[in-house]
Amino acid sequence: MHDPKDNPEVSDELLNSFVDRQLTSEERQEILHRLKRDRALSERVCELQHLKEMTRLAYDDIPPSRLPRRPIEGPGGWPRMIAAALIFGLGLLLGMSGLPQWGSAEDRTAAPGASRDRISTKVLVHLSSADRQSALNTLGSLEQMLAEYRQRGEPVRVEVIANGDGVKLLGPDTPEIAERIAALSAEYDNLSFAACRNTIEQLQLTEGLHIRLIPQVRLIDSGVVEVIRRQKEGWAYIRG
Amino acid sequence: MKPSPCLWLLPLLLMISNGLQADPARIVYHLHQLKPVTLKRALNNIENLYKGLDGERPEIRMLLQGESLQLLTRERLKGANRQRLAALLQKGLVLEAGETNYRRLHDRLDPAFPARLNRNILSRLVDLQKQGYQYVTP
Repeated sequence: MHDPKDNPEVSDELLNSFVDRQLTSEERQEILHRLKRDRALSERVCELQHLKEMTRLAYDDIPPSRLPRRPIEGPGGWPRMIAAALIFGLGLLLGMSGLPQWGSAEDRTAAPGASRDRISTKVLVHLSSADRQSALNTLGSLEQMLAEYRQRGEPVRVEVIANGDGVKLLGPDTPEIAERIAALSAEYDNLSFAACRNTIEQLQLTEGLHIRLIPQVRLIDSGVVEVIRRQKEGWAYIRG
Repeated sequence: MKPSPCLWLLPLLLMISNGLQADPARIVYHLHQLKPVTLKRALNNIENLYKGLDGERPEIRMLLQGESLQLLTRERLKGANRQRLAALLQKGLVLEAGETNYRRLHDRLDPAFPARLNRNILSRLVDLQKQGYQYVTP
């Protein structure tokens, strides 16, 4: 396999394997070691990661393939269109009059929070600064908001995503925030926290920081991609 | 007499023309930090929005969360910034704040800049976005 020691010029292929997490642990360590010393190499990795994320994001929205359209032929065209319009209108009326009643018994008895797709309010809170007081204020407001929705009996889903300097607030080194997150996570199962893996790796490379996360925080590949994706899905966005 | 097939298109055209009527540009501007540049940057942005969206009947709301509400206190809101904010209110800018926070700071706030009060600013931000407001933050 590839060995960077034998090849001072790290190939694109090897860097792509690194970005795609296809290297062995030893190979990965070796690349990480070289990245610390080689700024140009570090920039190449950043570019590849960025390219990979943008490509993945672009392919999220591939439109369905178009079927060839068959023109309406012959003298029966207008009656067929009218019939189609009537069927469409009937379908629309039925749909608006509460078709879910005809669903399976399973659908009807499912708990309100069982399917996340049925939640009409989804909120993304984006933490990108290491301002502790601001983060604490945001968590306080978040708690009030979750309590308010619970009181109204309205389902809501909230995800807090940290990238940039925001990831520095999600570890045990900021105990006042860690305790708040732990308490909120225990109280609300519709609230989750995530941190950007790319940021954490970059902070390790550029600032020598070893970011530790508390157990309530899960790792995601890229914070910025998640932020864009959620907004495309219709989530409300709030900068914390 | 046989009705023209074009008659079927009439309701559709009416629906399309209603849909094409331009909705006002709705923007919610969220402030949540208290930094010296925050208000200046916000004023620049909002002035530019009114200029850029002239003719689109912009509806702009500035939501001041947490410590950022201190930007509206008499000791901080002075000189050119005060005049610029007053001019924006004349253009239709609406200020909003959290109820508790507003009452806590009430005695220090400049009375020339009243704000709509909300039980919770984050809920309000969510509701406004559901109503079609575009979220902007400095």
